[in-house]
Amino acid sequence: MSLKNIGLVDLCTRLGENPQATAEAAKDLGYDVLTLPPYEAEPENSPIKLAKLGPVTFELDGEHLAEMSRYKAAGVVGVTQGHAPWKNTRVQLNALRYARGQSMPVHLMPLDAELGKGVAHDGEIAQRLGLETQPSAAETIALARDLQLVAETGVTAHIARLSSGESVRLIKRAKAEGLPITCDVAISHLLWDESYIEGYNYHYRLQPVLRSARDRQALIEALEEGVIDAVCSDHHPIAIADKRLPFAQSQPGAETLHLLRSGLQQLVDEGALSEQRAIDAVSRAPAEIIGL
Amino acid sequence: MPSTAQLQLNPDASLRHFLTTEGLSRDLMTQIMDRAEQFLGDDPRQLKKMPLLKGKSIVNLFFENSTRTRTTFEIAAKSLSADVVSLDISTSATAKGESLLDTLKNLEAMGADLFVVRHNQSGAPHFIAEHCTPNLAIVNAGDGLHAHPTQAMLDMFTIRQQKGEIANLKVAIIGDIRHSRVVRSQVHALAGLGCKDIRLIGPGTLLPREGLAGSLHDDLRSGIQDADVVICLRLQKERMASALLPSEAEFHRDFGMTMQRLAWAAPDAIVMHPGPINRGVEIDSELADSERSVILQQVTNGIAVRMAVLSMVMGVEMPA
Repeated sequence: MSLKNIGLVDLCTRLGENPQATAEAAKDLGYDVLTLPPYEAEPENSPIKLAKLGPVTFELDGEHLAEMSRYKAAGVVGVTQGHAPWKNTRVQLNALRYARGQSMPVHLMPLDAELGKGVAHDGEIAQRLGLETQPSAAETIALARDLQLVAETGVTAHIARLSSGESVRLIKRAKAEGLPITCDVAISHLLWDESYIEGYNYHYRLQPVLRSARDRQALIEALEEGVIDAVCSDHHPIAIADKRLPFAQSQPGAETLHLLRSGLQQLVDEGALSEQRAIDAVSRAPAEIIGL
Repeated sequence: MPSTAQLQLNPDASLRHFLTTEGLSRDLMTQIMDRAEQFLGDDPRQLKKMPLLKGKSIVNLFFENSTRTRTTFEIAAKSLSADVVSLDISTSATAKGESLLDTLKNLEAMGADLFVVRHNQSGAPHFIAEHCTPNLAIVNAGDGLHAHPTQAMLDMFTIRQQKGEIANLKVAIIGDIRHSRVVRSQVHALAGLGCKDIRLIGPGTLLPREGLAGSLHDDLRSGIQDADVVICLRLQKERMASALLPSEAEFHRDFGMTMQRLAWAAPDAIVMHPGPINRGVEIDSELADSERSVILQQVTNGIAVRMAVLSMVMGVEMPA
């Protein structure tokens, strides 16, 4: 199999206002499976297999546990809090403990609620554009806490959407210590860096934010080494009225469904990534993470 | 997408909009200052009125309140015989940007030639300039933490007036460097005019990590040592609420400018402030009211510089 014709398994796809059209586009682009985050509207007749994540807290309120047993019976492949904040660490500890009891994998998206409000990486460009900054610590602080709680509870955890080189170091160490974790990166963070937001380009307003060229390089290397297991599209269609706004007001997210295969191919062609690793990261690894 | 510096220029490198001092050529900045000087004439109390913008309509679009800046833009526009309308638009009514674009399209349809825009979002004037029709010019009157280019140019003009050539001066700026659009614009303008010694002074929470030309100082005395120009910034009250500073009193204790502390700077150093001043916080009254302070000259100069900018973005030549 080559990257050109491998069937893609995506760990995060939002279908947007027209779920049917997005699902059909995904099929045309050679996806086999899409994983939907909680509360995502579904197409009426999906031409493609859909896997679903459930919420880990009730309506993602960060405070009350979701009915994970019921979600499990309904066939969800994992639970997540997304980027919605936890009320406190006690709730998170309980939620992971409960998920472990349900043998339910948890997809964690580490982001400190306060520092995560920044809209651009804390670097030269954000300073120049006068944008509220989101330092890498927004991710690493939450990631360090998540990893401690995973170790504490023994839950099977998938760390989703890493953005920084510092996070790669933490993951590498945790894996070396035998923690039951996998992780992914969005294709956007392998292809782009903070320089793309020049001119207040709201198309590149993402969460987590695009970081430095060095961070991007570290993510590519971690993928090649297998520290990062999978790459996802993190596709997110957003209505133009919510996207075409002054940068900080623009809703984060980008339409990236078409980039998963072509972006990885570009990295392979540039010699930054081996084709074998690229194939594994969009087929076997994600399929295993969602238990296919 | 084009950077803000690129977006504001015509293909012939003249000003199409005025959005930022970043990347602005020394030549253009000098033109702005020379033109301001002509408006100022010999008697600063008697600005020269010229009907350069007769028949043009200027809309002051203020999404963030600022009586002072709005008024100086109004006086500048009227001194050029433009028709002026000022609109205070609360940001909450246009929190959704599609209505920002709608507002814009409506005003465009009424036949405005130039918008003076003040907005609490960094990049909002850039956004408007990107989406407006080709015959409309945008002047940035302050956007979020990003830029306040007319303030910076009036500061450059005041420094040139008081001290001559800017390239050889030592300039110290004190206060909330990290969250100040004024500083960003001042630093770009100073660097563009060749100034090599820019010191940015403040407590650690109010200094940027990187990204601005100039050296960072968390100590006032070493920061203003031998400085020719000392610029105090206005300290916003919000900084205490967000755990960036313990109190105004402590800020004054470590970073407030006084007559005594000015002795650390060069013997003939001048003190500037974009106004309005918090007396006893960033600067004490004795110094603010002394002959070393050029704060009131800055206000007068502000009108002349804004006249220069408005006439330049409208593509009007000065009469010989």
